[in-house]
Amino acid sequence: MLTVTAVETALSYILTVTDGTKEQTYQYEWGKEPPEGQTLTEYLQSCKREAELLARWEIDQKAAPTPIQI
Amino acid sequence: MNSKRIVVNGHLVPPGGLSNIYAPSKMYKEDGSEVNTADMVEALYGAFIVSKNAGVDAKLTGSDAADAQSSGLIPGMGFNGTTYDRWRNNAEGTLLVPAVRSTNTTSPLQTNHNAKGVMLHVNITAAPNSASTLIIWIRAIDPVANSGNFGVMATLITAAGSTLQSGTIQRIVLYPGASASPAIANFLLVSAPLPRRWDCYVNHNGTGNWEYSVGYSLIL
Repeated sequence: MLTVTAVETALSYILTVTDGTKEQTYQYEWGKEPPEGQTLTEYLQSCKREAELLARWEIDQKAAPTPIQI
Repeated sequence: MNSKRIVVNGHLVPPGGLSNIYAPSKMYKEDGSEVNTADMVEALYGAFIVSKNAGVDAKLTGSDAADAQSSGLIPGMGFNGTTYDRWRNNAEGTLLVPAVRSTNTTSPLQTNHNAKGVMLHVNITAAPNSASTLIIWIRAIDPVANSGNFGVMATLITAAGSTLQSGTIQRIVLYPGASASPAIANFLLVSAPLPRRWDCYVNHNGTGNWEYSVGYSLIL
């Protein structure tokens, strides 16, 4: 289960993804200006989704190697 | 007291060695013991931190905090204007993981410590139709405006039916001196340096779902 929290600094939005099962955190930073055509809410929702995807990706990359038949 | 701090005539051995310090016949560590050859080799070529503030001397290991140190390292730390960061080799990572997206997407901000340029790997595995396009931006973050919109450095339009095809990994190279001639298939080369802060912005032109990922390789 991943949970996402966010803080705003003068320079960026910092999103922290916490992996509740392993109590690990993954932190990502986004620029403050939403892309053209996106509201701030839409932008932050997009950032949240990407943060979750990136954290899940990092978790998956750490998985132990599995034996294969050769 | 740490015995590896070396003081010459009351001064710490600075990063880079002793060339600008009068070398006396004997040198002493802070604990009063005499400096030996092994100490000198380690001080000049080893990797431990020298600080004007007490209590920071230590060897650096891979698990240590890498960046934003308050003191310099011998060798391998670069001053960023405020703190010291580790000097990097070529590095790589993920900007946007493989996923279905239907709206404009921005990657997390990236910090370039000492690379000159970057290669983006854009892997498009599904496009909504042949009329839609993606525009990939490498954006330099303006430290004053704190925005990437004023620092667009490279763009690539890619879509099913255009020059760069969906279903093939496209590469965008941003590097000083990079030349587009002779052309390399599925490469877009732009001659420009990569600044300290940058990100990647993918503009969806048209509606529908795209599936793609964007990776990066920082190049010294």
